[in-house]
Amino acid sequence: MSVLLRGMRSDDVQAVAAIEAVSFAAPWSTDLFLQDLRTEGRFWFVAEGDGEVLGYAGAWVLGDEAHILNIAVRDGDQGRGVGRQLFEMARAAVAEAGAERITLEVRASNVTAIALYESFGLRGVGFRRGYYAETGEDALIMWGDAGRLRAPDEMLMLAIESSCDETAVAVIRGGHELLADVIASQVDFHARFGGVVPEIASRKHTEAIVEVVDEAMRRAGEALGREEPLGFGDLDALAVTHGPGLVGALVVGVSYAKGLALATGLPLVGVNHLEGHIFANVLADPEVAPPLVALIVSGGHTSLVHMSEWGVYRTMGETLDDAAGEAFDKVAKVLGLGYPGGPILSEMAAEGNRDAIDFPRAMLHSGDFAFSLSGLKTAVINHIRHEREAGREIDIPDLAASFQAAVIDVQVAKAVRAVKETGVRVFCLGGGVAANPALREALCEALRPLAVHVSVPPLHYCTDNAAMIAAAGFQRFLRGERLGLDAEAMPGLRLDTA
Amino acid sequence: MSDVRVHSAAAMQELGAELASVLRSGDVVLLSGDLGAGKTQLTKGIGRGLGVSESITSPTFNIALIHDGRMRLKHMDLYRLESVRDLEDIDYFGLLESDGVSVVEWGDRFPEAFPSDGVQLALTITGDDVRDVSFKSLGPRGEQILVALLAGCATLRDHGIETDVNGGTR
Amino acid sequence: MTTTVVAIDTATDAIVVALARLEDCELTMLADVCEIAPRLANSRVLCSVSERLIESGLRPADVDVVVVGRGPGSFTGVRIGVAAAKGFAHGLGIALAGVSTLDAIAWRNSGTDGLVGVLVDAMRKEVYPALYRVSDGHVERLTPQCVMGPATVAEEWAEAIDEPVTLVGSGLRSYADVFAGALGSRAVIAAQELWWPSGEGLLRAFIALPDDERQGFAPGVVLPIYTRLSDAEEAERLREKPAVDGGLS
Repeated sequence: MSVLLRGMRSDDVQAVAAIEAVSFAAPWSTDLFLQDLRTEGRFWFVAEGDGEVLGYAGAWVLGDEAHILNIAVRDGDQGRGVGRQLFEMARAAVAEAGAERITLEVRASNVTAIALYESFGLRGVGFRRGYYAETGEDALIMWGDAGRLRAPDEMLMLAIESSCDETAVAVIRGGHELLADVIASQVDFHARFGGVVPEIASRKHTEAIVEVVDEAMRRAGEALGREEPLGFGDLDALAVTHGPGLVGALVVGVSYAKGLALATGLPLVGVNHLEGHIFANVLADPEVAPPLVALIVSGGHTSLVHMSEWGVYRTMGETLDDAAGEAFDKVAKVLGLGYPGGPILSEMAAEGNRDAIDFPRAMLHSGDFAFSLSGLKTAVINHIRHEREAGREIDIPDLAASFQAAVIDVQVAKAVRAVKETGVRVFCLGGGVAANPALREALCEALRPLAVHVSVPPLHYCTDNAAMIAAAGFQRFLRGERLGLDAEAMPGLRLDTA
Repeated sequence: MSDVRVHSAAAMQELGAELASVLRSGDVVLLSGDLGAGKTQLTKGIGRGLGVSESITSPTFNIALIHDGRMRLKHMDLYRLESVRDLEDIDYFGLLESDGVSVVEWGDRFPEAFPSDGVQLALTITGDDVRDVSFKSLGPRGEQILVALLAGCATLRDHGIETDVNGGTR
Repeated sequence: MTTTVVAIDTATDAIVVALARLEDCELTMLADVCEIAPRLANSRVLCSVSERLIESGLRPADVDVVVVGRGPGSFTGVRIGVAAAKGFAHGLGIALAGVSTLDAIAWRNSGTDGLVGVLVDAMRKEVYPALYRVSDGHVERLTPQCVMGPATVAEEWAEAIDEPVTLVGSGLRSYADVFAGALGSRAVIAAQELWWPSGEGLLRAFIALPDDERQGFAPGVVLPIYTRLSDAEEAERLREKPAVDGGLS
């Protein structure tokens, strides 16, 4: 389950008090919570999942010391790491408020909680005898360091991408400065595995993931001018793509990342792969900020997305059948250009006449933002068949150019309409097909006269990579979003919020 | 030899919906045919028949897309796979055996990996909008499905589906 | 020297998580949980590791080595277990050791001397079979790990065996009759709760590994067992893997 950690609001108090009532023998009342929320120097957080309060934590800072007040997790939501995430959030907040040391009391018999606090470096220093008046039980007093304090700009995050064919890992500082950006195909596995790493392979991810992480940590250490690779202890958070994508591929990244999170105690954030393609632009172009419209075109996706503010997405329209990249690849295949032949096809298109063949512009006037490419694919196939039956030679550059024009015309028209309808001043392109020069050019030409800032990602960010996942994950991290240890791979994950 | 002739993309969807009405959880449908033959159209119809509300898009890239409806539709595509070993890589057999109906585009790609039962539909492009579809059963359950499907198709002439093509023999 | 070991296996419908102390070959189980939960491996396995640690009053950093069942079994299941184990071991900078899931099931059933036949469902109407000889608490695998049709396995075993054989494993859910038919009174079908690996089974299989494999490996080199790779390929992979520095010694 995805968990959102955020400050407690007065409308949470009812739910919080209900959890409190079943968690403690002498529970705080709603009034007491409301009063405390208004008190200077107090910090209260809740963990929210599926719109409900799963748990909460409170802390109180006095000078350089912080006292952790109540921490509780709803019955039935325990065991997923929510308590751990809440404690980690409270610790970060009090450290930021200037606390250097943390203390708390815990029921001496509550081994679960004690083990959790110990895992954060707190140690029992003594008992308050008979502290819990109702039961007469002792409280264990624990103390520990509030932890090193790092400003968000200095924070380091490691991000993992395994949603499709590429195993990729990146390390980012402060959400925008890339320290390492590694893709498995760049790593020399020959020495280790003595052979080829398969192309479409969940197996590949399982074989490669540790090495790719090591390589990223090594390069990040180098980027920081260190002799040694970065250690996991130097990191502040982890991110992983949890969908959409191939289920067998996603599970490897997600399981590995959760194992790493449990081992290191680092918070883990889940990132949507499509969101990553938008953040490829954010990384490369400081002017890219919401509100914006993004067109994501790849082998698996063709979507127009409205991002009204950071982290808030609405899919305006998407393909009803084939994705644009897939249509390019399949037409290339029919022409005997191989697979994936999209890039070859677009090269040939540059030599041809876009008006040579009048292919249909499907859905151009549909009035919505949906795309359909299977009709175009069939039209191209029929055209080839007719020409061959008539014994005519097919002019491949002309056909490629005409096909590409049919795809691009619809994409551009819908992009323009989406920009006008939403009134945004920023537009960005993402995904593998974003590397297509004709599409890039056509979008710029159509949108720039409207005084819209058009961002196209650098070519190396068009393909799948973890840098973009890191950039997107960092923002989710700062917003308090977390993945639990129970998180699943989500092959059909939607980008739309709520 | 073909069993039915389909006269439009819409009719291909009708055929899919008719097929869906005779399918039950555990059934496997293999689809074969060239690019543009209508495999995804047919699957869209099956999805409609199974009560899937989201749009059924091509699974070529993701290899398997799962849609929940009245019955689950597991829509797979072996186009990108290169060897039979890749099937294990994508947990193909685990997917086939999990709940719901499996529809596999390019399902004839690896004959050694055919399921032990189910049906195979081969789609052939015979005109700009015309497709011939031939049916084959892979086992006793497949035979049951095809008998019911052919009976259903006989009532769909008005929807652009012809059954007495080339003197079909069933 | 005492080492603390976490063992996990998600190759079958069972999610197995255990925590143990190991002193030389002396094994003390601290926790050993086997949950039958088909397709829930990803959502359950690391929660279970966390729960076992907390119940035992241990922190992740107290763990010295991770043992993982490498299958054969469900491809996705094996990958989840292996990837989670890699992440956990990598994060702690400790060694990861892999054992066969079939071996772990056999070791779980090593209480009485005799033959044990493990049959894990491989789907496609096939099983992962392996035959074991248990004597004096020691388990020896008599057949290579492979994938086969149940009827062929039953036939081969009927030919080779002239004593009772205890049958275990998820393959019996579909093929118990095939084996009962072929083996007749020699087939002893074990109670269902013994069909799965257990933490103790994984750890006994781990202890029985050859010395160099028992050191554990760097987490990068432990891989799932795909029985459709030839044995030679498997053996070669294993030989190529350097042991991790500072492993279990």
